[in-house]
Amino acid sequence: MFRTKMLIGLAGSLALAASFANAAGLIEKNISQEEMFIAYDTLQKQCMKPDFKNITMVIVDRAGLIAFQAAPDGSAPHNLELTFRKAYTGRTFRQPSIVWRDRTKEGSDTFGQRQLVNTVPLGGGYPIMVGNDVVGGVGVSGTPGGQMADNNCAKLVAESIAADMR
Amino acid sequence: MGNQEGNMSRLMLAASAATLLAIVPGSQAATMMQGNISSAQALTIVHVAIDACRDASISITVLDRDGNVRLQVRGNGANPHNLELSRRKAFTARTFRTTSAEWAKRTAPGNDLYGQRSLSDVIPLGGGVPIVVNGDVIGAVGISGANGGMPREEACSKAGIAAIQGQLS
Repeated sequence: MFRTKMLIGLAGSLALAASFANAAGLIEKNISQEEMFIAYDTLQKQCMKPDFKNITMVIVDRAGLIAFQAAPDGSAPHNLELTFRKAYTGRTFRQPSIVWRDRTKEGSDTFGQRQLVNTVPLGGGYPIMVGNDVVGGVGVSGTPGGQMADNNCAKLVAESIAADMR
Repeated sequence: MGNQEGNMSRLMLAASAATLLAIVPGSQAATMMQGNISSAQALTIVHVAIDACRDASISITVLDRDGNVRLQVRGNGANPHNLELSRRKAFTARTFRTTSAEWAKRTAPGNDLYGQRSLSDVIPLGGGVPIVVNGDVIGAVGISGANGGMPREEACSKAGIAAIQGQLS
């Protein structure tokens, strides 16, 4: 009886394996080192000014892992961590962190999302989107003009990477 | 015992008086000035080191004098540990003011300094090099993932530092 069950089970597994034999492998785009330098170049040219270079930037990849970090001269001890969290928030929620900030504000149904580790309800995080595919996130801190300025800078950087990935 | 305590308080008083004397003219004391690696120099180091090791895509970290990240770039196809490892190599070189390979040798098992390996963030592996100006350590570079392993990683870290050595004084 047991043996019969085993045989049936085995046959079932074989049939299942056969049906998976032709399953497609997963191929995903991810950010390259060269594209990180394109991003840093965009930050320098489009966000920094000759008299103001004190901007921190972090790039996370598709997995939300840090792929690039740059702390400017005279940066504060919290800058990199905060900027990473902006990038991570943009990546994981697939939307600008300033939008997520407003969507999860006190009293809203999604307020609880703010308890997630590594997120931060502050503007300056932006997803890197190639079509509908999110391939990473950019975080920016310290742009003169506050969170909306950080957001706009992060958008420019994210789009410069996405343009290279298309 | 009481006499010793008496001696002790006299000593303390004398020490306080000396401290006060030192502090009062200290209002004109020079502020401490420390060199540090700039973000522009860090970018040069990273570009030159990546170029020196270009037959593989390396992960690299430049730390400032405090051991904090100034610039960090992950290699293409890097393993999950590579970027963190490059940081720990740089941190080891920064804090012990020598290459991480030299420190690994110095702290080898059986050595009196073996206990230093229990510090967090250090790593007994080659590839980390301090950035030294007139004997002062102003930062460090660490590399992971080079073709040729630790000696090559150290060589590429040194190549990066050499590119800015002329700007340091």
